[in-house]
Amino acid sequence: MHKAGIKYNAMKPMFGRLWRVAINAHKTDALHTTNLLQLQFWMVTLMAAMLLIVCSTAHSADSHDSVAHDVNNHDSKLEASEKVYPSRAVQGLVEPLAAGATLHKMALSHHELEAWSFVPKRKDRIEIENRSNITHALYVTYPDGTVVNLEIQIPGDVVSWTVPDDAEGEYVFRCWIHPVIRANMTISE
Amino acid sequence: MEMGTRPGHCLMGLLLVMNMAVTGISHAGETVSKNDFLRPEGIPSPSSNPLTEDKANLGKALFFDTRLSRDNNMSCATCHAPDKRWSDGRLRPLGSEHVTNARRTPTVLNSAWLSAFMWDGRAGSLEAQAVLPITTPHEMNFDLPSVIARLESIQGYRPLFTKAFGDAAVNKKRITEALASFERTLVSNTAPFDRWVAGDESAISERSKHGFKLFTGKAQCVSCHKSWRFTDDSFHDIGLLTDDFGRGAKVPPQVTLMQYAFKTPSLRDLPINGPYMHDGSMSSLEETIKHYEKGGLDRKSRSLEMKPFELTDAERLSLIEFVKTLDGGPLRVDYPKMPE
Repeated sequence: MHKAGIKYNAMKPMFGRLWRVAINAHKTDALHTTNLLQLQFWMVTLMAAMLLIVCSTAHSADSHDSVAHDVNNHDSKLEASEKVYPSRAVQGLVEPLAAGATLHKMALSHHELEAWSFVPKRKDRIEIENRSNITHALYVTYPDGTVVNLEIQIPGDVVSWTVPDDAEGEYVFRCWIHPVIRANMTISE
Repeated sequence: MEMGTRPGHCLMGLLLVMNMAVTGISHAGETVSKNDFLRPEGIPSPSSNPLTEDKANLGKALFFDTRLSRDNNMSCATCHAPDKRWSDGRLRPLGSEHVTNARRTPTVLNSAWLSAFMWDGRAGSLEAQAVLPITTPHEMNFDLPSVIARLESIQGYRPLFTKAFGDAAVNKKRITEALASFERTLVSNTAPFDRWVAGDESAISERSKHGFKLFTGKAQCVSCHKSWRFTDDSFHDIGLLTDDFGRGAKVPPQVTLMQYAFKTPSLRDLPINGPYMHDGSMSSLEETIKHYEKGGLDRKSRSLEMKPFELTDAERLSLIEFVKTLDGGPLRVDYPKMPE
């Protein structure tokens, strides 16, 4: 409590300055450049102070478990995902990787699938992580026209596609929401 | 632990915060800068139909020619009129009075850069799109064999086809390639926003610059209205009250997010009084922004990018002022002399 009090006292003048700049902007009904600069300066200063407090608190709290913290974050993300569309992994529908198969990873960044360097073969699994800040809905079109939907993918979600046992030819990855996303993957045995 | 006793942490924290402040971090976690909105240098065209002046000239004649319709009364330009921002200014298209869920006519400006066409994305290229209005019953209501026969009978088209394709043969492929080529030449004029992005600080007002910050920050319009054309060429259910299934009717039913989803329209060269939205249901930018503030109808298909937010009246005005800076004025063309 004592430490928290000291930290709050250190931040009080910054809160005060921020409040005055905000009031000034409100009274003039416009965010003039000067006001904005002041606001930005004091915001940055305040953020720096808050970050320092977080850093020092983390360092001083010997019992703090950073791994547990990460797990908590992960759980909250899963909860958000479950609310919208449960992934196959969450539903326990993902089958174990076949013997001899390889797990490959790909990334989806905003409006394109990032280039990959692996050579996929039959039965391999390809995991695609959505590293953008928008939702995607990928699907794979097989050479015979079959369409396989992957899951709705909120930011941070991972979806997977297992290369069919009899795969051969060009498989096209696209997004129902963003048609500009397109990647062709050739499978040959 | 007191502040100042861990210099390593202090320096690290300060550097991190300064870096965030310098680069600019948007609410959505991605950096957005003015450079993301720079206009491209040239006009793209597919390798299967490279853009040439002769093809565009032929396409221009076809675009304005009412003889491409069964009753000789309608051309592409009837609904994509140069003086109406290459749309028609109507809530619903001409002749669609008895059509269920008729959709507003989109502009053809900047279509060279599109990857999906029509409100539901059912056409994958300009060439594929070009034939749809010709054969749609409530539009030009014709069929391709009849169009070809009619064009073959017009002697004035022979030199145009010859210049564009090497001989005078008329076929569906050539008609659609020429129409697509002309449409690719329709590019928005340089707008005040473009001059600002290029470095002219006086090109737009301070209020507009504030609007740009809201656009890319608090209001997160940029989640979908991105790039120099202010669209992601993608599909979203924005929570409008409608019976129209949109892209949902074109994709597997499991793709719930595409139900009631329509293509994000560009924000360039907007007619000031609308109509806006796929169904023309809104007539002012203020009404449109308020819709996004509320977030629209909450249903399973609603885009996850639709996140309600609050704007003050002043902020809303700033946002509107910003959108107006995307208007480069009407793109005029000389009307072609119709081949006889």
